[in-house]
Amino acid sequence: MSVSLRYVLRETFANLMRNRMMAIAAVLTVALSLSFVGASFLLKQAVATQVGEWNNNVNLQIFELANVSPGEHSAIATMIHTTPQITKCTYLNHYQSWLQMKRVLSGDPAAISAVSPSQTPPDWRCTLSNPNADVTVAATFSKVGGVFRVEYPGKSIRTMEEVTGIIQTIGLVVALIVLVASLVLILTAIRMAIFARRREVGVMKLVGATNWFIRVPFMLEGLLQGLLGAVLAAGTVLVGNVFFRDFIRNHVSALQQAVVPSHDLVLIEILILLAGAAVGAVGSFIAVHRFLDV
Amino acid sequence: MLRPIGRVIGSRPSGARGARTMIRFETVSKSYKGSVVALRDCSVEIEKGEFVFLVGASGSGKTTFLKLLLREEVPDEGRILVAGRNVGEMSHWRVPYLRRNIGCVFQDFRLLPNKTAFENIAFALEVIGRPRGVIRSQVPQVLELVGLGKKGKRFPHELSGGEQQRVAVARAFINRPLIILADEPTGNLDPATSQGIMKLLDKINRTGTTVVMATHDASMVNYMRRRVIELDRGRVIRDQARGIYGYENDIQMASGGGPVVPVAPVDPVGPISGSHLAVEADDNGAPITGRVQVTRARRGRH
Repeated sequence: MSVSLRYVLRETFANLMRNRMMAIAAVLTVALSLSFVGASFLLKQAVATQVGEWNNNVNLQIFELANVSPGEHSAIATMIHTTPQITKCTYLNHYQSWLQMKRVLSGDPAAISAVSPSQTPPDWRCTLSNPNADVTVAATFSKVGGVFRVEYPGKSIRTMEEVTGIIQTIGLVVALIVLVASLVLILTAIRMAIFARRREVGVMKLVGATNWFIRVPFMLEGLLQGLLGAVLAAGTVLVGNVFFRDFIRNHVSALQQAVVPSHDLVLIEILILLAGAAVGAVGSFIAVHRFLDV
Repeated sequence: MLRPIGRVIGSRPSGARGARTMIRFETVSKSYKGSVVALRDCSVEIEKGEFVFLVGASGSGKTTFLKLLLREEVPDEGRILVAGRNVGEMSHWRVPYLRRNIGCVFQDFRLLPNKTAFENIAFALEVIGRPRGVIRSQVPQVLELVGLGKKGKRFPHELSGGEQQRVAVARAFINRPLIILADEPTGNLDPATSQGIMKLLDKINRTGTTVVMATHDASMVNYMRRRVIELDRGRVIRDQARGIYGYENDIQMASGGGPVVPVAPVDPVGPISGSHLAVEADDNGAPITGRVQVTRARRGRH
């Protein structure tokens, strides 16, 4: 078995080298396509994190001061219950709030360690009967004693969500087109590899190599091309994410929370690698089954 | 999977039929694209350890005969048994195992130009998953057997035509097949070199391997005096135990009626002259002049 493995690996890499122009083209297209996929998901996640608090029908967030007095706290609670526009409200104490922040900032351990649970303002997450009333309700509460600040999405955030939604859709469509192109390119690369090795294939058939044995180096070659492109894309997304985060930090104070949580980033990277492997596998599978007559 | 059966060393029966049958064609017919009939109602039985010449004009069905044995083609009618297995009905995944029991030698050698002689032979073992130890011990042995013990490191372009064909024979034999099929193995070689290849195939035959050789080389057939099966437009028109290339009459006329003696090759371009040459060129798709030049060039080296 070891000789087979050695043989398969040797042939695969020899093929990649011999066919390198085609392989480079295929790898780069896969990388380009998957970078688009990654970037659009990244954008979506970043915006979702920033706007995330406003999902689940939360239209308004009232933060109490970290050192709010019990009297002030009960006054705020009473006021929330008596405000007709507020239909529902959930309270998160210091610790719950801190856990929430920790989740949001999971990509930034330094920021988490800088704040302890007792320093984290507790908050109220409220649902309004009419989301457009957020401005007036916020104005009322921001003047109440013990309130640190009131946050609401506002029109600009809602617009931003829509815009990023469109950008993401365009990104995904472009990514899909390029992905199909890269699939065809891998298919062609493998087809050319098969053509370049028709003598070897002929001899292999003659001496009784199994179909599996003849096919595997070609399929592995396609898989590697896809995977290599995916690795490039994953790297691009990783680096791009760091640049994006630093840029936001330094230039756009309004989007301080627009950071992709690390577990989401890992998920995107895994998705990219899987997609690359899938494109390579499918492309070479088609090529081998259509053009390798065994 | 086909399993090698014990071989009868040096024995080449021609009369007895039965359990020792290696190849059996039962009323086999094969036509291409509905119109061109390649084989018609062909029945042949070849014993284990036999040496058989397959002769006949180009287009008589020799190559189809060999392709059917290798399951490169499937018969339209009839059965083909190789070592007791029905080749035509064999499932797809078994075909490689059939081919491991059949070594092939061709007119154009079919060596891989980027591999040395050693690597070319080793390749045949490698791609059927033989361990490296086996390759290291077997390949030098076979190189020695074909008389290229010291030329294992040469690339095909560094070898003469005859030597290249020896490498091809070594590759066909390395896996100790039950059968060796040779499709005009001497077609590209000058008579002296051809004789060397013939002796080699004879040597391999003496180890018990069945050899089926399609050829146009009359002098070789006449020299060897082995079983000859002649095909004409897809039909077996002659099956002779110790035959010659043409009919006895032709030879007697040609050699003045005396006993048939090994015909010493006089004219090196003889076997590939006239109509043969033209038809041959059709078969290979190679230009006629190219072939003649190659032959002459090879001769020059010897």
